[in-house]
Amino acid sequence: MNNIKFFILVISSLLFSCEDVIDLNLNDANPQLVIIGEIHDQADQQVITLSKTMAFNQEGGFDGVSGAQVEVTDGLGVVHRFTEHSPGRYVADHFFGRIRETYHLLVRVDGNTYTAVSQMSPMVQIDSVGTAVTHLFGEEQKYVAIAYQDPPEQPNYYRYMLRVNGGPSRFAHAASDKFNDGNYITEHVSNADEELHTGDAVTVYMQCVDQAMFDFWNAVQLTNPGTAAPANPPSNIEGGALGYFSAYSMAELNLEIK
Amino acid sequence: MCSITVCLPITKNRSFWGITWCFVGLLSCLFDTVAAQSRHTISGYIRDAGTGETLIGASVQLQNNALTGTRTNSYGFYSLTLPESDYVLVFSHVGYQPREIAIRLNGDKPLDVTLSAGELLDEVTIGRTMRDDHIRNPQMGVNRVDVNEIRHVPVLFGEKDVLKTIQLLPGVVSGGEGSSNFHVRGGAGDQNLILLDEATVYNASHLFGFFSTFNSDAIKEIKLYKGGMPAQYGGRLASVLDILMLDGNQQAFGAQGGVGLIASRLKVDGPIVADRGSFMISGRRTYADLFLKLSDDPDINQSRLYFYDLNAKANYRINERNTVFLSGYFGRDVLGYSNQFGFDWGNVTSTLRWNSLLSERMFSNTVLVFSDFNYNVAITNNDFDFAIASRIRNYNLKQDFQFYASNSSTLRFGVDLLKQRIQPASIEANEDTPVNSLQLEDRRGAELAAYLSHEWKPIPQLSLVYGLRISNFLLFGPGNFSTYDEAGDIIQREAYEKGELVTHYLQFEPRLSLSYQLNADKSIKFSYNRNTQNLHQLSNSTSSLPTDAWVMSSNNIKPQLADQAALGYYQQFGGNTFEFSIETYYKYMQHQIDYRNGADLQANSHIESELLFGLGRAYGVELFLKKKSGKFNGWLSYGLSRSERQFDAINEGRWFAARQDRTHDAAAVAMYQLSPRWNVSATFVYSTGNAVTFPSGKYTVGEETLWYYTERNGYRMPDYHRLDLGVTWESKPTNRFASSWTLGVYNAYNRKNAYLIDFRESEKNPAVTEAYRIALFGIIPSITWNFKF
Repeated sequence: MNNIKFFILVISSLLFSCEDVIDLNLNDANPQLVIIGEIHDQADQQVITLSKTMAFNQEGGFDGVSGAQVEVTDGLGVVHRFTEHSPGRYVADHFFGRIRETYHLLVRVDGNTYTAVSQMSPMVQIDSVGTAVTHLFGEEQKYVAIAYQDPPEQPNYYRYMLRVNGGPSRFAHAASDKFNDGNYITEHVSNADEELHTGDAVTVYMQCVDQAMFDFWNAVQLTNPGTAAPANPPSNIEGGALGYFSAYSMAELNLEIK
Repeated sequence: MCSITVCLPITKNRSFWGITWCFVGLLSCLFDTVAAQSRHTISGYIRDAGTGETLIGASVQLQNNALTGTRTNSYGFYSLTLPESDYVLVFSHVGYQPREIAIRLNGDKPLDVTLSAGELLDEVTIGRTMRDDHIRNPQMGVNRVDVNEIRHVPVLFGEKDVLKTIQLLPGVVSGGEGSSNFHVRGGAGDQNLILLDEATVYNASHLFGFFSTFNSDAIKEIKLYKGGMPAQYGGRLASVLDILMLDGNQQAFGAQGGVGLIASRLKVDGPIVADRGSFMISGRRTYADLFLKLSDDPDINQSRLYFYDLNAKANYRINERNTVFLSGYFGRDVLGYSNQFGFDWGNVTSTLRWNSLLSERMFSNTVLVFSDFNYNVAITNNDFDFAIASRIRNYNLKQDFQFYASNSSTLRFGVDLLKQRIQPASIEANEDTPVNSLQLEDRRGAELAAYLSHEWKPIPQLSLVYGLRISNFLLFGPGNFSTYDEAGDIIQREAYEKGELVTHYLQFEPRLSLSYQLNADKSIKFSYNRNTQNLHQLSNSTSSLPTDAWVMSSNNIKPQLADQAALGYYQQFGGNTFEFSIETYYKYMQHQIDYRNGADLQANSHIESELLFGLGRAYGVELFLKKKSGKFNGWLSYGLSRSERQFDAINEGRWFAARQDRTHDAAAVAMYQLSPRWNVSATFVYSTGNAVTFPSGKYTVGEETLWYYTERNGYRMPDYHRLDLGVTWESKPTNRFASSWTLGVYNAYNRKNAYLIDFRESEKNPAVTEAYRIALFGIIPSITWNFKF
């Protein structure tokens, strides 16, 4: 279906479209709490961020919320307490995520309580990684190609992050096996805004995530200017916060674009 | 004279009894007329003298009493029953010279009449003879568009397009810049019943909505009902757009065509057997793809980008009483990139129609229709090899009777039986493709309707059409049918055998439209209608895509219902040169459909779990002033309206503006005949922007900036306005050949109307977020050459 959207874009651009920045008077909504909690199995430090939404015209992007009680309880009843390292950034050290473990998040802030649950999916074995090239209207486009065998008879969800030439790690793609359950899959991964070139040093993170996190990022990637009713991505946090809490397993791969 | 209970049904029960009383009144009234002595019937067809094309809505009046008369139906047939006497009948039609015929009525008389096209000479004659249907016809909320009348209206790329022209009428708003999609009285895009020669057209647009599937060359007349729909129509909430194709010239062969920037057209028509039968074939194809062939890049010169339409029709008069018609439409869009990606979609409709005169007063129309829409996507490259296909089709039998009981009473009744099948998007994948084949279950349904309506003029000032349509929608197996709770979770799953009834919905749809004539030039009209809809198109994008899924009413989806009441005032002045109307309406809609946040509408076997159900209401005032004849003609239209929806899960259950809600929507269309060979025209449109959802804040997740939305459709797109200009020069016609050049300018003052507005991080400073707009069409000139011989 992305092909169809691509065609619409090509056709609209053929139709003499023009683009310019405009001044728009947008409302300043009451700030809303955003909780992003990720527990993974590749480090002994886990980070949960709490922030508030900001006015559209305000400069900057992260308005941290301080003074919260943040903890994650695992299936054995062990409580991991998170401490605030910088405004809105809560960190727990010596905390390795374990696959198949169920984690419970508890956040108390400003007299409100927020909870969420997530179970860590096991990692799917990556078979190979390399560079893929496609040609569209004479333009060459490069991707990181990741090949793996999708586990059959069960829903699997993936998120890919890319770090290019030592830059920040950015969201690249969220995928589910809805249409290719149990198949040998070659996923083409690239970041929408950053073209990959020969010689780029790339780190790709393949994450096996739960449905809540897929739903969140899938909503982000599906929202485009033609979406009739854009909405906030669905949150799995009880208590009325934006964001998500998700435990996932992860693999990190480094390669040079050929 | 017979009595009648005027029924304004509010609840189902009350309406049922009200209707019953109506028909008791009706029967006694029919009895009166049937029993009357020494009355005879004049009946026949009214045709164009030059082409033999039947004339729709042509009027037949008594010369000494213009209030006694009738008009031809959609097939050009009229029937008038009068007491035995001598009469002078006046036959007239817009754009034709009226004809007076004296008859001695001493028995039933067949009388076929031909009228010659031509301008009327003086305004006095116009006032006396031109039909004033506008005032007297009880039908309200209807706009009739004569394709010939709109041939000078300037259009995008010079492609004449009836679906864009109707957007210039009050109560009809455009689906977007350059779009052939339209919304009527606050309704959704899928709430318009679009009929081409009585066949439902599922997807009336080409190239994602920029062109309609209707090639103007092949069209005779279009009629748009915005309210008070007659009982013979059903199945959609907001409007009926009834499009009839030309029959073809019965007397001589002819060809006409045109060459434009986007497409070329050719129409050929002529007699099969002179004065007994004719055919018409009209085709259109775009040729942007021919330029792709010039490229050296094999990926590009193998790409495909075109659409075509083919309309064909033939008719044959078996004898004085029986005529058969066969018509078809075939259209397709084809897109493809190299040999890696292919996407095509299109409609096929075919109509077999049999008009039969059972008696001088009983007209029968039997129609067998087949209609199909399908699309295919094929993806073939090194890694993938799979195809996606979907189809919706119906078989439809309509039997309609018109009984001309007396000149003040016409009865219309019949049945409308439709069998429909939806094949949702299925995926067919090769063995070694990393995509699985996926087959969603087909859905089969039937819509069986019967209707009865009565057009009646109890006193000379009052005329009304009232009727009832009873429709029963049935959903059949085979298949697995799940039932979902409010949260969209499955609560029950049941398997049904082939032909087993899953669920059904019986609906009573009362219809009423009446006109009270204040004097010869003024009338007031009232209408009420209930409509139901059992086919729903699901789309969560702003542009309509051929891939939008169709679903039928089901155990989860209740039929959409609309109740509309409207009141209007109509006036003609300047000797019927001008017509004016003001209509106001209120429409209440139930079981409207929206989507959960993040709804997955693609190849989803639980698509019904993604739906939300709510209410809708729309109300407004529409003004229309039209100058019908003379060197200078055109119209002004204005609509002030509101269209709102209410869903428990959206905006905390508050009423909110529907996307197509536009407070003000105005259009001015002017055409001026400078000289016999020069014609200039201009169109101006203005409308409030659509209701739209913009963010009211932002937040950061990792490196990504996400938008924070607080309210559905809480913002407005900027106001839209545009001026289009056109000039047509006709070459000096020789006796065999005529041609004309049309120059057009779309968006003459190059207004940057926002097609969409989106948000992004500024390139200069990523900490700053900015809004940007995309304007689709700047000033666009066009040139078209048309010919005829």
